[in-house]
Amino acid sequence: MTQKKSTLHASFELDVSLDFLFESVEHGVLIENTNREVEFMNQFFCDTFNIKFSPAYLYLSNTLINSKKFSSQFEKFEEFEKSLYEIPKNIEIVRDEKWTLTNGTKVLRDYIPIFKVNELKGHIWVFKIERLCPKKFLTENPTELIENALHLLPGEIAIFNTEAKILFANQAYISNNEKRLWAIGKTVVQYFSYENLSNEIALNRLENIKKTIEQKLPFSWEETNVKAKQNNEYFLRTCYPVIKSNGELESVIEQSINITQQKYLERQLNLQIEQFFTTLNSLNDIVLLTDGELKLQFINKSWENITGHKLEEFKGKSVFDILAVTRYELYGKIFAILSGEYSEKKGMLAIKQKDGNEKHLQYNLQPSFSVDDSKKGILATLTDITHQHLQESKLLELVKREKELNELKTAFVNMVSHELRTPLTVISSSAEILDLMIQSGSSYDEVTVFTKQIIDEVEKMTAFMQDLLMVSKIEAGKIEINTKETDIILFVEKLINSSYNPWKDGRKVELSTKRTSKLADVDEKMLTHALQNLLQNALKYSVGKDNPKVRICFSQTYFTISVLDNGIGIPEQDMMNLFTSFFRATNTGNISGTGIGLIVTKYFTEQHKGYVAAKSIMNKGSIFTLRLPYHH
Amino acid sequence: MNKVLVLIIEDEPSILNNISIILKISGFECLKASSGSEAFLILETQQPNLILCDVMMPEMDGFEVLKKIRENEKTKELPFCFLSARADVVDINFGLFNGANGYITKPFSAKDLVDTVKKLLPSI
Repeated sequence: MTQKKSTLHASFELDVSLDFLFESVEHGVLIENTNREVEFMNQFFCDTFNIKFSPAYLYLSNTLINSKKFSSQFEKFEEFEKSLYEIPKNIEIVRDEKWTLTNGTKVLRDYIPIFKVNELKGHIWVFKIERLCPKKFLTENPTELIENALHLLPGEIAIFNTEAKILFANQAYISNNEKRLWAIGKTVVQYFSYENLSNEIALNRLENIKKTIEQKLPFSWEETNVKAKQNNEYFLRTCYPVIKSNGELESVIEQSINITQQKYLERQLNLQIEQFFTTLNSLNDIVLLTDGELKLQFINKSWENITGHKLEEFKGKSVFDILAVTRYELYGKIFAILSGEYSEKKGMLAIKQKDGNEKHLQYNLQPSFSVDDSKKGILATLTDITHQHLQESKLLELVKREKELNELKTAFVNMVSHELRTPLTVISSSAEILDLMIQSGSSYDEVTVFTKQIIDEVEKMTAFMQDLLMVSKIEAGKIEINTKETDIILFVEKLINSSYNPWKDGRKVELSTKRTSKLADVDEKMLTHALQNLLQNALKYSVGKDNPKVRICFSQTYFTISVLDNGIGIPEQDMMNLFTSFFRATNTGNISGTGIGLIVTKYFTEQHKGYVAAKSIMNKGSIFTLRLPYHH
Repeated sequence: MNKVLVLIIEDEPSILNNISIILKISGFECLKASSGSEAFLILETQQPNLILCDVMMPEMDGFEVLKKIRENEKTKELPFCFLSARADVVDINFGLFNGANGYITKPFSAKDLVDTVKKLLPSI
């Protein structure tokens, strides 16, 4: 350094203070002699351009060679090197030439040629670094800086003292400079009154400011339509307490953000949500949404229409309460979707309506996600397919009935065929025998057996035909009841004695009754038919067993006639079809019968406003009871 | 020449009786059974040349009777003819398929009955 100083003095014959001056300035200074050798370089120069050598080391080194050490710091380093070479040739002052370093720092460069009595002595280069110094600026002008910054902000900002009086308001809060100055020291209510603005809004603001002062807590509220030109604008205003280090309140900052756009979007969104729900509620299908816990989040109106249950009844309940099913199949499907095993599952389920009727629904399950809950729930749509289901059931029932009818028809044809062919066989063979006997001159007594057989069989066939016709009339509803007062025991006794004492196998029908007879209004023909069928069945299905019995009981309002046998009984599964036309129990085997008798009995009993009941034990016997009123 | 013995099995007494009379007039001897079980009792002591059997009978029907006849060494070769009110071709074929030698449908004429019986008898 000593060496440098002496050299500087020697070359330029300058005062010592100049050296000191160059070291103290915050600019990079480089002084060259006419040979372009470094005469002086300050430390600031080395620091700025990141030169690793000390200025003393670089003394008298060639600048143009040295320039390699720092020109790379410049963005346009080739141009910069060229300028170092070219500018001194012109021997003219160059001021504030703009350069940019690679780190973005702006540099202003001055070039000054040094003359002493018209003789060039050297060159001076000064690099002025342009930089911001907020700290310094802030310390010097704190209020100005903050205020300027606050004025530039788009939102309304005001600072209030602990008495809720305005200390500062930015331009957005009060745009007019005079009014703004006037407002200082006033309350927001006074300012609003001065501006002729809504007192209500001002009072609300003041209240929130006071609340913040009292509670030292921030408060937010929404405001709208402060000024007429701001129609339909919305602001979110917040008061923040400014607390000193000792915990006392220093001031309150009130700030507002224009949330009109946000409000508009929110309204749009709400509108869309509303439309969405209106659409969902107008659907015929049930749509339900659950959260991750499978609790109901939403269910549309169709639920009420389809099930008759009110939506409120199901608030917060789980999907299983809503679907009220014990179907493990559905449980399995829901968990398969929640576990990610399937993305969709369909199926059918039946639920009870409020009135107890069953509804058949087709369901479609999908996973659902909520915005704030990443846990999967269920989105289910349920379509009411009760009508289709019913139609399907009806169709199936029809097909089944059709099949049954076909089977019945076949059975009926077989039965008729048998019931006619058997007497015809007797008639035909008897007639042929008669023919032969007459030819051989047999006596009347000998032939009379066969003529009687023919007459009997014709009677049987006639009776059978009458039965068939009767069923046909019954089914067409063409038989009318014609009653007269009748002694019941006498009537039954007469019927038994005329045909069943004894029957063809020699057995008899036993009648027992505990009380004296009573009179009742009955259609004798109908009751005869009804009882004959029961008596014939009792005998026919108990061949080789004890005598069948008839019991008559009289009660206050009705009487019963029961026919009991010890026969083959009726299988349980056949009991429900017992009174169906042409139906015959599965255990009747080859015992001949038409399947007509019981339907006739039932119909005639019902014509008397009575009913017929049957009880049976397989291989033990059956009891058929007619219960009839005395009058009807 | 020995008389031909025919076993008639029929649950309807009038028909049983009439068949027996017709066959007797035609020169056959008859054994009458009103059920299958009664027929097997008779077969224990008698050896008919032919069996006429009704199909639809209580307890044991004609098919069961035929099955038992065919199972018995003593009777398995006996000519067996059904008498039935079931006159459908299906029924006739079913009877013949199960081993019957003939099938007479009810009602029948005396001539048909006698001709069928004669036809089924082994030539003597």
